[in-house]
Amino acid sequence: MRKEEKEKHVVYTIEECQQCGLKTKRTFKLGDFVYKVGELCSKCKTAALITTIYAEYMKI
Amino acid sequence: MNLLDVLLQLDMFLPEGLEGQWWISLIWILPMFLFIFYGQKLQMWMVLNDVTKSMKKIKSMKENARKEAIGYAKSINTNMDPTERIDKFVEYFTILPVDMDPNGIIPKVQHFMRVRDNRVKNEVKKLSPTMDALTVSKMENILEAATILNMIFKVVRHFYLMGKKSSSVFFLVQLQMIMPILLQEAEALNKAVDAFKAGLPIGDGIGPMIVGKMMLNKEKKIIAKETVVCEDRYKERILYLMKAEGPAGNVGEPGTAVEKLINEMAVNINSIIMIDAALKLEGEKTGDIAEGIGAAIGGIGVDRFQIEDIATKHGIPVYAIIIKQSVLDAITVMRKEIAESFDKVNKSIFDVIENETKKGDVVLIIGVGNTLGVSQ
Repeated sequence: MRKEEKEKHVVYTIEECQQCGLKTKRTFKLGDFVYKVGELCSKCKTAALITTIYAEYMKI
Repeated sequence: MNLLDVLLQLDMFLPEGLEGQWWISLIWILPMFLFIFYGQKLQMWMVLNDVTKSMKKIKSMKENARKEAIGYAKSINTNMDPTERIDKFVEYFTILPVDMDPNGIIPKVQHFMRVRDNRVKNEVKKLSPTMDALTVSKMENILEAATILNMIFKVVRHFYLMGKKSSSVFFLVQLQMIMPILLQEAEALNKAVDAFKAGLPIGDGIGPMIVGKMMLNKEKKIIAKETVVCEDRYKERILYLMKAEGPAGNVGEPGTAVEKLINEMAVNINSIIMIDAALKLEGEKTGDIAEGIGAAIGGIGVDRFQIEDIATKHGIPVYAIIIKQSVLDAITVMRKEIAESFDKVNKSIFDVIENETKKGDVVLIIGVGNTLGVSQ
């Protein structure tokens, strides 16, 4: 019998600083949406913008 | 000649030394007769077993979606038990207009779909009158998934019971043949519920995500129900950007919006570029893009008809850019491969603008799809 392959995913939020362009990847938090003003940029302390939210899948 | 004589005649087929041992012939003769007389029943039993297993899977998915819908409704309004309302809701149906005389059927379909959408929205709002637009849309999407799963289960159960009742293997074999597709769709809907609950962008949202970025920091206005538009400039062309209003889970009414833009606002559109997620064929890679001609928009067909109609009347070329994905990818949280197609699609859009339009042209760019979790 063929063993069914299962996938697990983790959702990430990508924030991009509009000033210096620094990209930060963190796990998704409830309330995040694409093009929402995100957290402060760790480099230049200006508000970053959420540019993408995606899921990375891995086989288990 | 009796049966024993017949069996003894078959001695010639037996290996040396086993002559006269007629019972050895029974080992292959009996199953042969068994298959002749009971073969179909045996096949039916096997098909029935297979279909039962799949039906149980669909039933558990349907029940899970129902529970998720009830749980989400309870989290919105803790003072109310929404079970009865939701159970009634998943049985809702829409009777599409008669198509014997197809002349003018599209406005009728649009009317019925609008009535249905408004009814759903009103029912959802009754769960909690203070609910914001994002929560309403999440609840609507969850309920839609639960309703479709309920419908799939009921249709499968109908054919299963019909097959059983009439002892017809043909009913069951037909069901068994389409079962992998039904299971794939049911699984996609079941997984979609989690994305809807969390307000996550889904694979279908790639079109709105691309156009949404172009719309950032620009003045936007509502042009049709849950549809926004704004103006921009690029290399001496005027761009009109259009998408459903996010981050709520809307698809908007791009067909009506294009009609309004051209007929009511008298915008002289020279080209339309549509960006949408499209179902990939087996063997194609998720996130691959392709360019083509025509109105790239799914759904029941009203918006596609409106766009095709107005484009034909005004001789407007319609260019399509599609992002390939499976049915599962389209309604579950956006995969990395789809999100990574962003730059490639962006490049394609500007290539089309530069190569297919000339300076001074007005180009309409539409990001088609469910804009859940994607603002502008």
